[in-house]
Amino acid sequence: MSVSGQVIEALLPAGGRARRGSWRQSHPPTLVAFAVLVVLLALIPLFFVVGYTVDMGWAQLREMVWRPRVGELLVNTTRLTVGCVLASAVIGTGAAWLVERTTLPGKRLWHVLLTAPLAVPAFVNSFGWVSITPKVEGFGGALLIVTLSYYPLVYLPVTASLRGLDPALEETAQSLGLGPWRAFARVVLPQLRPALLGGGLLVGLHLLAEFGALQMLRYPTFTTAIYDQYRSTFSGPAATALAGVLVICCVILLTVELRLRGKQRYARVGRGTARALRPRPLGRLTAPSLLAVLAVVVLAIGVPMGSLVHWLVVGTSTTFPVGDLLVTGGTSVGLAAAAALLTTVLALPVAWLAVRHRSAVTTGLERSTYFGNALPGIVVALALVTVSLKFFSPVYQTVWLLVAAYAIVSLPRAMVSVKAALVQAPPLLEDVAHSLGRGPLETFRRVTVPLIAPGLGVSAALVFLAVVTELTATLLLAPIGTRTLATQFWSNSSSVAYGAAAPYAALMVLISMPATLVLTHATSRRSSAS
Amino acid sequence: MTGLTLRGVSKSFGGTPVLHEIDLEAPARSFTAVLGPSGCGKTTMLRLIAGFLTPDSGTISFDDRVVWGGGRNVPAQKRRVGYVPQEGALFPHLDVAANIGFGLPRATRREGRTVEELLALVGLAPSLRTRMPHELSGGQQQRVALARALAPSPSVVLLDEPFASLDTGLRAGTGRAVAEALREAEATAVLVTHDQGEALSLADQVAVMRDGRLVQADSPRAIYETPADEGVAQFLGASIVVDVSLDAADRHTGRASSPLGPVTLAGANGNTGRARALVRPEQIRLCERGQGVPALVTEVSYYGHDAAVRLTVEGDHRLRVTARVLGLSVPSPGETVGLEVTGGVTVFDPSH
Repeated sequence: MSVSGQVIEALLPAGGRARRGSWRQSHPPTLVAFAVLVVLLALIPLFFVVGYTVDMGWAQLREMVWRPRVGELLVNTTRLTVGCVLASAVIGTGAAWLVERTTLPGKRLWHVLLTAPLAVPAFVNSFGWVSITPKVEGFGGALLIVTLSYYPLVYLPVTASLRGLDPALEETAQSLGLGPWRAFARVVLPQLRPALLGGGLLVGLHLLAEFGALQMLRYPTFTTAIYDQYRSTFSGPAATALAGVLVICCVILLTVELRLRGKQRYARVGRGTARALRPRPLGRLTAPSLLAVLAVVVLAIGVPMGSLVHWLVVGTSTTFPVGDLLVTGGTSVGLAAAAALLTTVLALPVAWLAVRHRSAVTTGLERSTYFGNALPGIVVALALVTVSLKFFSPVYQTVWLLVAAYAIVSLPRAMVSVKAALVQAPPLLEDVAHSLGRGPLETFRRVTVPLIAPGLGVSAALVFLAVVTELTATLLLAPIGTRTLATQFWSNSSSVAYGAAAPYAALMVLISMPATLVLTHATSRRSSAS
Repeated sequence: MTGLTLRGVSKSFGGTPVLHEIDLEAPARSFTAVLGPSGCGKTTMLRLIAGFLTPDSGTISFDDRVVWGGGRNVPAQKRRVGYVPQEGALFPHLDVAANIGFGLPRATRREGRTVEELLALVGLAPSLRTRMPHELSGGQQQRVALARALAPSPSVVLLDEPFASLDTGLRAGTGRAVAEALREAEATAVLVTHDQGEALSLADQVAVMRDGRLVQADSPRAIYETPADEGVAQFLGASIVVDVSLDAADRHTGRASSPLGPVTLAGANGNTGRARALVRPEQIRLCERGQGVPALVTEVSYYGHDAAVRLTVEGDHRLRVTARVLGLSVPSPGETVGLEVTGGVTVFDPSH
């Protein structure tokens, strides 16, 4: 076989080889048609922003964007984003290093407690603080609270990286004469770069999309301003122009991350066995380290939970709305389950094409579904309101529109888990099943489904968790009369009825806490194993 | 049991030819090893036989049943082919018994007797039946994969470099166990490998592939001793190729002169004149200085049971050769020894 033939064979995934042939064979028409529909749905918000901007014309756009108010929002959004990303990087990396690489006592407990804030939506955290003291309103308070909510997004990937790192690297550096600190700075830290950048990007995107927490702290950013604008003028041009600027901020963030990431290789080169590195003794620094970790945990989990319990006790002295909790809780769970099912079903054909029929076209389809990750929920909601009113008015004010918004926002999470699951179910196993006399359907049922079931479960769970605590899109899109835990909590806390709001927040946290812990545990274990 | 025949099978990927006009015959109950460097197309050939890929042209038949060609394409699941891929590829969600029983009808699966028979056939203890694949060693996984392939009594068993991922020590033992199980099951087997030792020691027939062509197929001994060309000779083991000149008289006596002294010709083709002949390192015998052709020992690699002695032949050619000698009588570097060639040498047909 010639060299180019070898290259071609090496480039093709093992299963792709079997299905190599005509365009029709490599792109099954039904699957492609389905995937294109999914991608069109996912791209609605982007079409909306671009289309609207073009429609508005340059003069009007300038008038809308070139205002002192927009400048103010830009400054507010930027300083909060930069501050929070940096603070999260420091706290996340520091905590991860203490837990993974030192003799800190009680590591397992600290690990669970440090990831726990993921189960508490930022607006509940914010509620916990603001309902005790109004001093947290403004920039300082906002920075503190969003950092405490989002640092786990850095902590988790950095922990996984530290766990997966080849200890031989650090040992080699030390044998070359570097002290422990210099070895950490010159060898370990550069290896953490992808985790830090990825985590930082997630924090930034979450912040640009954050509505509830910042609204409650009266710290205006683009997202809160869009919401206010929408409430006063419905889907007027002002809200849309702001949404355009917000989308540009997201694009800048994505570009910066790509640039910083560069093209270096971080993969482990050798296949040396991963031995556990001897943890670094903290010695006299043990007590201060414990205090630092304790402070983070108390501020991030202790304060909001304490405050929630306080309001629960105070609030229930009047009436505990059991019936209403059940109804709104049921609605939340039902919506979340529907969204989880729908999103996973939507992700499956796109992921299948991308993994099993890899080509420029299928990869392009797959990548297009990730836009939802960068677009804030408020932009997605605004887009769906406008597009549905213009083209599909029967779905406006229905649960379907709300579930579609959930699907667009959470499609990337589902894609990642479904794709990972499919990659782990090698097509070779399907070939073996065929050679043992099993037809395509039986093979799918007896081999493929059992292999990808855990991934589908993780996908559904991730979507479920995101939707149970979703506030922004729900506020804009929920049909009149549909109340979820999040919206009920929001309407009570906006009218400073803290005692009445608390039960809804508590139930939300109760629903999401166990699953969050299980998922974060599974994710950090899996990424350290790979 | 069934024999396997390939006739004029070609295949290309995206315009790049990978297999050219392959003709291969594996008699019923035989063990054929397809030997070739990586990227020569041997795995592609196996996947064509299994039905995971379709050829561009040619026919593939099991006995007289055509499974591909003349408009027929029997799908993989109806070919009754046992397939043992690299590293086993056991179903990770099923235990050993369920893996082995995967291809059996439900009723047979429930009996459970067959699983134990198959475990015994591949030389594994019955207690392993409840283990999960990740709890097995590499060699055990390979044996379970073979048992799984043999369970539905396939007409042909295909093995794709099944031992490549095993340690050297384990490889020989597993290879022998697998070959024995295949013989006992009276299966027609095709093994793909790039390891010449494995091919020569396990198979009844060795087929050498190069650049998508089948160059030569013969018994292990014939292919080692009388390879079709220098490339095949090199690929099957260390070889020394020397120029010999032949005249009609040499043809008659069966002897010729070479830079390594007189040699006996093995086999016969009618050519005369200059030709190239193959000498294997183990054919060179070292003797006392003064006997045979004088040569200077330049380097010795000692392996215990034997040693590789690198020599420079004195005279016009300054030919460098390597001799394989028993560990009992190894000369030292710098020594001058005599050498002579024992056994028959093969003269390559210049038309190749």
